[in-house]
Amino acid sequence: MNRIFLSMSLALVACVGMWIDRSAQAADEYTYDLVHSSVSFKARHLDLSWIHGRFNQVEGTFSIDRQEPSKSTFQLSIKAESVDTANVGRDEHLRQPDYFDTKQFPTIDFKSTSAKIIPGGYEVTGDFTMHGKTKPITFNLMGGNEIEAMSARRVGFSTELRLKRSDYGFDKNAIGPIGDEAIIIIDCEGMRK
Amino acid sequence: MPDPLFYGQTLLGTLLMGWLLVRIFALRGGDSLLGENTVAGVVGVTAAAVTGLAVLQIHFRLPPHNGLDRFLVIVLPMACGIELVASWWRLSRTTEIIVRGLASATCGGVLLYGSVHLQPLSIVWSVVSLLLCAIGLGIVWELLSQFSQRTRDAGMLFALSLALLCTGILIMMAGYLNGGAAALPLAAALCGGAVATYQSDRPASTCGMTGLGIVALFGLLVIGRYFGGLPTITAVIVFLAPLLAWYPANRMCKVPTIMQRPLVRLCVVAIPLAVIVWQAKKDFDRKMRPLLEGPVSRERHESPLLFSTRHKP
Repeated sequence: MNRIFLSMSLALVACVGMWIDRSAQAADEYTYDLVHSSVSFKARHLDLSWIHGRFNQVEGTFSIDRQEPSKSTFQLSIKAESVDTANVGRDEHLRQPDYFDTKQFPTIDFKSTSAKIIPGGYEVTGDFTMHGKTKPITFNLMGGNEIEAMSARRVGFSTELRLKRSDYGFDKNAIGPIGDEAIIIIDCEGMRK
Repeated sequence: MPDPLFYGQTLLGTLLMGWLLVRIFALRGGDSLLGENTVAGVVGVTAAAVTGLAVLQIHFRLPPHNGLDRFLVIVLPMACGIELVASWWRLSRTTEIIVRGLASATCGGVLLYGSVHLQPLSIVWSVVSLLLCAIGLGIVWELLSQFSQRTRDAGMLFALSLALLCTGILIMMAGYLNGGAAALPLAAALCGGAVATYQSDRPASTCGMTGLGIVALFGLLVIGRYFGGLPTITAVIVFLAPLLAWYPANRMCKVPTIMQRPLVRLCVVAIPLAVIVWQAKKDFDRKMRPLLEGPVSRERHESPLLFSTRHKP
């Protein structure tokens, strides 16, 4: 009797193990490739032209589930201190509490809560945290095809977000000459061995 | 960019309001006109400063969002409360020292809460910073309170007001406009209180207003240093400058009258502050030049040859 019970238990454990292993294999984990990616932004200056900038330090992971795309997850963390607008004085000003307040809010984060497949990519919904304020956003993340190059499997995505700085607790007095709306352009590659 | 005219009008209005409120509240005290009535000074200066902050649209958010919010919502009311309690209930000297010491110990932590300066990765540096902040504020607060109780004139208030004004200008030039702007109504309100005390024809207890002023100065300098780009040495010099008011007035002026003493003290404190602001203005102009000048004028600076070739026949 004991032997039968032991055999059944072992079989059950093996089945559960195989199921866990299979579900783990279904999602492909990618890490953000900083060399071949960029997170840049632009905002109106005096309502005349655009100021362009980028963030030089970004980390992230993507988990792509090919069988069940809704289980795919996307996570990105941008170091606000790494803001770069090709002008040292302006960058220092942008790090101040009137703008990004990088000493209080060192990172700008996105974490997806749901994803669904659309032609050419994913429609991703998630929590975007900037300047200490979190708001849900939805955007189309185009791409997702995997290729093998440079001894790694790579996947690429791109998107463009339009955000209002006033929605994220930026000081209204500091919005003045720089427009309230900022366009964030994300072009990124994820890679896995 | 801040509008100097609007700022000037607000500061003048705040100064007049501070002066008026301190006079009105003190008059309600009857014989204790600005005498032992510290409460009048603290309430008047606080009310004027709050009005000035509202006019400049420096709002705080609840729950506090950043260092400036915590300064306005927690640190300033705490200092105000301590000085009111100390004067209203006439706390013993030892109790006053303990209460001010406890407040000093918490101020740094409150202002830096949730920031990168209190991250577990830099725990040693965080502890050292907080200890230095607590010891510095505790000692200076106590020394200035003793000084105010001993001298009973408006000299220290004028000195603190000037230090607050310079702090505002320095923080603004360091790039943190809102943080610097928050200092200006506080400076103006304290100056109003100082003028009301100066006009009084009897010795005045300025201990409460002094306590409020030194905590405000400390809080703004911490915000400027840790969140804005204010250099450490500048912050330390501005924080310690009011202590120079302790310099005996009769060394500067042979026979100073009661009316002359506060002004002599103000002059002594003004010297290092003026040097610091002048130096900061030079640095500010140097940093801002590339941002404000157009490409043509930059060409003039960087490649005079290119500019001159345009005029060749």
